[in-house]
Amino acid sequence: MIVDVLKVEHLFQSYGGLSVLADVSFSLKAGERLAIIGPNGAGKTTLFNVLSGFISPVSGRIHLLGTDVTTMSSHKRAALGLARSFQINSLFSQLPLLHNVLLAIQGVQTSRYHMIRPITAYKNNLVKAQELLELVGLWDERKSPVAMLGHGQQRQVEIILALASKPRLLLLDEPSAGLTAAESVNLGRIIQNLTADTTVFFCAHDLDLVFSLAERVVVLYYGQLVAQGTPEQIQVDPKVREIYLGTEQPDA
Amino acid sequence: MKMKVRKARLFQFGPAGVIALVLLTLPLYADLSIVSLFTKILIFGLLVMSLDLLVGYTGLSAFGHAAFFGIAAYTIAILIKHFGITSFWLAAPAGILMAVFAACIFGLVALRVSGIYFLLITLAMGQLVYGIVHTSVGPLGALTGGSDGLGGVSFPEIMGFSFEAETYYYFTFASFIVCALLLYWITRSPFGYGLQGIRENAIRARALGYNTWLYQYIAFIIGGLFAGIAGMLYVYYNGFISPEGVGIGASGLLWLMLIIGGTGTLWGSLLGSGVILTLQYFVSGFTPERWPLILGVCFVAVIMFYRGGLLPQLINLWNRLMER
Amino acid sequence: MGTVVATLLNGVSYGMVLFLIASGLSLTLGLMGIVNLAHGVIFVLGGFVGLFVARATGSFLLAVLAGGIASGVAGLIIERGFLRFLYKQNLPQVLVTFGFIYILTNLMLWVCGPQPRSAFVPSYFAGSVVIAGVSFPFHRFAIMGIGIAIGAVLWWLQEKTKVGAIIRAGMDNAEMVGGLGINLTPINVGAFFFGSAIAGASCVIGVQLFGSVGFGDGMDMLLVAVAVIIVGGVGSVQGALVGALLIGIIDTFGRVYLPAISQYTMYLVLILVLVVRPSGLLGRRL
Repeated sequence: MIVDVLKVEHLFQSYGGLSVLADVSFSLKAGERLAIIGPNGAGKTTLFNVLSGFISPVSGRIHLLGTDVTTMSSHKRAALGLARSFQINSLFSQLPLLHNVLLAIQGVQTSRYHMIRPITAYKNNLVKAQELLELVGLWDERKSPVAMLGHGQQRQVEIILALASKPRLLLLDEPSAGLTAAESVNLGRIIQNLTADTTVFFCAHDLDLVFSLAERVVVLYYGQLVAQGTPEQIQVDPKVREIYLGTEQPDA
Repeated sequence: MKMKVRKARLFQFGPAGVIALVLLTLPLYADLSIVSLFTKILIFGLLVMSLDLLVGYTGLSAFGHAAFFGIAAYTIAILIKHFGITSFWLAAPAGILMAVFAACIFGLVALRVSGIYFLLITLAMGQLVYGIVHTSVGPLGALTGGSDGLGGVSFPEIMGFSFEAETYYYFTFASFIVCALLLYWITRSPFGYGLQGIRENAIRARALGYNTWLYQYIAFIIGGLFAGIAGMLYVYYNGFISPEGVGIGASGLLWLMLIIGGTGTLWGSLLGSGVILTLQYFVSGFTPERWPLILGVCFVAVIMFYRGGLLPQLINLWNRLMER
Repeated sequence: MGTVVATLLNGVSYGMVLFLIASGLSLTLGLMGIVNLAHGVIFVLGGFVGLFVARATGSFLLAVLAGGIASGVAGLIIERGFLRFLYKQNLPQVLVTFGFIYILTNLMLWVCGPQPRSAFVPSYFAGSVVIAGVSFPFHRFAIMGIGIAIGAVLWWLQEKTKVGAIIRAGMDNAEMVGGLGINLTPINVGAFFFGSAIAGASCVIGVQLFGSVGFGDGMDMLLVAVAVIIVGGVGSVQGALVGALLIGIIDTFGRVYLPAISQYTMYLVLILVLVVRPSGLLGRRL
């Protein structure tokens, strides 16, 4: 039996009477690349926070790889194979770049509780860290505290921290925001090269990225899913055009 | 090339080696009061290091840390004085275990909150311990000696060897080295970097799979363990423990030592302990009653103008000298 | 029955003094995110100055005023002279106030000597009332009255005035208020001055209850005040009042009915609240 990697059922969330998510249901199959789009304030970041366990939903259920994780804490979801990136850089600023990546790799290993050998003595992790850092061309910067890196570089670190644990489900919140065109292309390549056992769910304002990477797109508008389909279907969907025409031109 | 690396290493660890050598040979040329001062510096250095693990590495503003030191010291003094348990191998572990046990309990309560509230709760917990040992009445007062404190602890006898002031200095020195190395290893380990990650960004750490509460709790207990070891070393050294060694005043003093030495540097703690205790040694020679005033002014001045700490600055200075 | 009523009344009057001490602490904590650890010493300072003035002039009103002003000025010096240079660095700010515990205590010892000061009860508070067969000193009612009056003024300031609205908004989100072009500095300074002043005045008033005030009381009072704001919840007059009355009453009952553990009843309340409701009884999330 193949279970959905993520199954979201009738999710509701509100802040002080203001409804942010209203009856959101969708699911992701293994290896799928699903994008979520919608104007600012549509509730995308809230949805990501609910999925990763930083906010509990008012009602509804979330299943991760067949396990009900609705009330599970963030770190346990991570252990099940969920990883996420943040829209606003969320790094260990004063720690060296290498240690940021090692911490990310180690987060789902039991060795994260080891107390005697230095963190850099775990050779397998060091090799993995090198691979990850070379993906974004930052291996030479490994000894600098991440706070010393440029904004675009920190953005890329943000992504590789999410990749580091080899997650089954990867949530990327606006991964391309603040990247140069070249960096954005590189990011697209990194996501494309992920093996099929990594399922990806991402949101982005950059519709080029959405339509080139996603196999399926869902549209969130004021907390409700108003459309879903293949990129081609979404591009011609009259409701989506209505939402976007006034504000942004989907000239993809 | 290889030559250069070796030279660099020599320069890097040279000062540490010189300090170790001075400390190791101290009893050969210094008189007893200096040896005694340095014993105290090493004990408080270890105590401040255990606080640095919480403050500097984990980002927990623990303000009742002297309580664990005091609990170990009091337990040992009570066992020796009231129960006649003079065996080092019974009394010392019992004292340290009591400190760890207290840390397990206090941690559960204090980690319900964070930030300044954590500081306030740990402060209250520390004062609770102070209040308990300060009580002069009832069976409790008889046990702890109340505000008079509890004395009559002599240097320990370990495996037939009776320690004297000089030999106890070496015992302290060896204990310090072992504990400091353990703490140093912890700070560089995956667990230690997990703590630093939580200090830097607890939300990210959680998203990556770190149980931040458990990490902080374990760190709190480790802090209590090493503070307990310091308390054990102190009570055998001093022969006497009073409520003043337990309360908020003592905990605040540890913070001053920590900040002067350099928060989050571990070894700076020894430096901070050395500076403050040496200052106290000389001040108590001519105006002991104004010592708290001097301490308070130091406190305010250091926090206003000198939060970087001595150790990072000395390392910078040394590196600059070596580059010439 | 008589003892219960008397104990309850004693507890309420003690709670009122605690409320006055804690309200200043709660205000600066909510508004600026810092705890003035020297608050207890400032409380004692007000008492010493006030009782000196009381003995010199014989006027209770003047004594309360002088105690309040002395403490307020001490608070002002700490805020204007030191804390403002550590703007928004909460931990260093708290540590600086800790340094002032040493400084103020030692200076006062130097100037005043170590003896505690005994209470000054004005003639118009003398005498007692008999309630349920137990004689109850009149000054305890006076303390309750003063506590209620000051509490009412604070509540009115917080809930009904523009300054109060700014304070409440500042507690929620200081940056937002700053962004609206409202200068929070005078409010912070005012909070520090009045918070300290109320503590100092409350010492002159409350010492009638304790009999005397000495240096050890500073730290004790700080801790009780900390317990009050954690139990009641930070950042509101109501929270401080509920916490203060609860701790005042439980502590007083503990002294009468459970003298063996009376020293620790406060901690039991504190721990219980932390376990059940870490944000305090009336508090917002910490």
